[in-house]
Amino acid sequence: MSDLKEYNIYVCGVGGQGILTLTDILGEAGLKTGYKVRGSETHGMAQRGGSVVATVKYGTNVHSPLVPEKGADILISLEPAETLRSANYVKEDGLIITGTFPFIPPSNTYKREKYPEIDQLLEKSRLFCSNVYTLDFAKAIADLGSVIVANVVALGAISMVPNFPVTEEVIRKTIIARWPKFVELNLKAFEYGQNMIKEQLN
Amino acid sequence: MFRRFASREGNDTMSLLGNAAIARGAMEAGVQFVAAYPGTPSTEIIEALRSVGKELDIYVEWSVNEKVAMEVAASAAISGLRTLFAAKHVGINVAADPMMTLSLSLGIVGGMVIVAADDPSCHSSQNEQDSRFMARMANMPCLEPADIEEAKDMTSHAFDISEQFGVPMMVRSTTRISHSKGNVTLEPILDEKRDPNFVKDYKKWVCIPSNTRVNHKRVIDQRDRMREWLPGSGLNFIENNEVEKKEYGIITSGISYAYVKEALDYLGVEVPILKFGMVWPIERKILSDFADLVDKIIVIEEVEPYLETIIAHELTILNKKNELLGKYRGEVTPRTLELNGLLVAKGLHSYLGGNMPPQQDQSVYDSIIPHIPNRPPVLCAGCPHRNTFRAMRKTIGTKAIYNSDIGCYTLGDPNLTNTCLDMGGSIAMGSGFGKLYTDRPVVAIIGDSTFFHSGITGLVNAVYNRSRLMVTIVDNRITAMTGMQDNPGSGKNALGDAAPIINIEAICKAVGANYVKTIDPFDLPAIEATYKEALETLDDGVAVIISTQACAMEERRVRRKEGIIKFYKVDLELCDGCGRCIRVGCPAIEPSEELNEKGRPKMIIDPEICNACGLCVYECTRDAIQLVEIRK
Repeated sequence: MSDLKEYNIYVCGVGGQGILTLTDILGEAGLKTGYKVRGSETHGMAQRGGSVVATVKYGTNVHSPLVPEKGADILISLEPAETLRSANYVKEDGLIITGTFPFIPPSNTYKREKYPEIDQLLEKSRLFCSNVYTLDFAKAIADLGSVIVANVVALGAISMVPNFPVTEEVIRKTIIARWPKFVELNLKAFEYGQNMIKEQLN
Repeated sequence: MFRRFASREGNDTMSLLGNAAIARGAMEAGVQFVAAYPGTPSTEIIEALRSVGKELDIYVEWSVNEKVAMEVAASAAISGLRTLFAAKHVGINVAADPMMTLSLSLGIVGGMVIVAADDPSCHSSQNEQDSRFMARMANMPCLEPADIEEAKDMTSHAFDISEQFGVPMMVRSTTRISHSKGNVTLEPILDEKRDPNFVKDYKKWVCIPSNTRVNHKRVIDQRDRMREWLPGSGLNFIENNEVEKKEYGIITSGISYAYVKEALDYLGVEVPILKFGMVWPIERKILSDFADLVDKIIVIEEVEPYLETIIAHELTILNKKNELLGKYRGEVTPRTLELNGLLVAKGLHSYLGGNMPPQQDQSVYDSIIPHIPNRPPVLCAGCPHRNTFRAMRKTIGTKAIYNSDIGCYTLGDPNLTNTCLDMGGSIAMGSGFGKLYTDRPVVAIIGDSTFFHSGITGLVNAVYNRSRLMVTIVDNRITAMTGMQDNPGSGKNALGDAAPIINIEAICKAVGANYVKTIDPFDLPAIEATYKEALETLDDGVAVIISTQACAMEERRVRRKEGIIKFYKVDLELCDGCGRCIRVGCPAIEPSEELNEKGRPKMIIDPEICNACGLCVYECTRDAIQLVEIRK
């Protein structure tokens, strides 16, 4: 496994969704697997509500922390408009996993602008990469009874991606180690994400 | 995680943030004294050090500004302690006065490292300046790490070199080092505490001209000795010198080295690379060897052509005739914004050939842009600054000239933000505008931390010069924008101990402002009345209104710790969808799915985001917004 040349993950969403924690876990899991790992995070100046992007890269050919345009093997987005904003970073033959629950910017509300249709956002994202899988976070939150686990649901989904260079077992162990007090809830969310994506992969 | 980071033994590999790696490097070198002022992207260096300060017996302080931090640090460094100072690039400007003389004249005894965290692309800064020029100006040796492991190792190494040559060392980072993560192998922490040992020496520590003339010569000789020492240091190296094709060679440093490696991978070509770890002074021997090895030299670096300028100069001294390409000639990489592997590959392709890097059809991306909603940074829900801005808009109006400053409030209200120059600039620029305009109010808006940083001197200036100025100090008791650092108004110091609270109102009164009043921005009628009253006094001099209320995010954290959850809720039976509340500009207020008779949505408040400030309640004419309080 250490002969992996390069695997690039691009993560995006909105401040407050747990993007940086998700990225941290992917980084830690890569390290546990024995890869050279690089990662970066960009969050504007807002505590909450701003666009957040982060990267994780595994492999021997990895030098800088940045993923260039058309460079990501997988794009994980927790918000559908952010998916489209970052869609140019995923390889054409890569894969997009996106949350479909919108986070409407307050300026949209203030200016009475309409947030785009979700289907339209997904359709435009497919212009960059046709392989799009969706996660219904509204349903996940309702079923799991907690709003804070969206990023763990996403991790479950990632763990099922064919040829993902880290095994689901390692990701699971990293999650357990990260939140020893909330193992049960997080594992439930993790499996929930796995099942959500399995249905679409089949 | 923390235990591993603080481990005395090391002997471990972990993924660290660049800034944490810099902190770990300082710990491994036995740093004992740390002084800084927070600034993105440098803040986490100090956050990491203060988290281990007590355990490892490292003194860490948040100083009131970078100049003060540099001077505080200088006292420790000339007393023989290993000392660290860190700042963002513009913070280096503030510290430049003591830094220049410390390097050009005084020197140090204990190893002293000055970390400069630059921000190409201005992710969170007002400019893209390059601190390497500052190191050159100070004739101060400068190391530039290319990845996280190097960030740790070079910081640690810098203490040794600094001590060996008796000069402060700069470690220059950029956002993509400071704010990226990578594997780091931890080594043991040097557990050797020194006692301060300041030895009085009038000729050495007093920068009067007669001393400085002698000391300056000593510093220049010392740098020449450093050039001679450099070849054995391993800091600079040549790669790929065995490749067949040697028409071109690349010189690079820092994060750009990583981009060069990735670019050559894209292109599938190999050329010799000279990587400089020390970017001042330049090692002449290795440059001379490289110039003999290749025909043409391409310099790859971000933003300003620092290295290119220096290399051109050194090549002339070495009498080398290699063609030099970069930003002056060849336009290999752009002169603004940060680089990445793909950009460098595109720049190199026309010289080195190889595979075409992947191209994006820009028209496709341009076509989708209008479909993506913008997310401009806004004040958090419940931020007390919002109330202060609302009161100013209502009482002072938009005809006034509003000078803002560096902090969260810069994002407050674009109509009430007419200038923003630098830390502390609001009051001083206001002091100037107040002399220029008497037909309209001139306002300065500044936060508590920025007021302590460099607003006080501006206030003295405005009072002394009888300027006509209205100062608003938005005091939230914390340095919020950089991530909640304590300041002289917080009641706590960097190590978490209780500290005196410096009284802003007393300062303003002592300075002699004509009108000084502290108000609570959550009491809207009172704050509006205060502004009206203050406006009446403007012809008599400087008025100061201190709007004091805790930062909403900090308040929320404290409240949740106590098991209290507070938020406002809209009664959809009472709401008629008039939309007055959304004009507050609060990120917690969203349209619901219920429509009024005009087909417009009634509003709801997201309880996860709401911080219960109650500003929307003032706007609601139907008493539809009610407080909910849950105790766990």
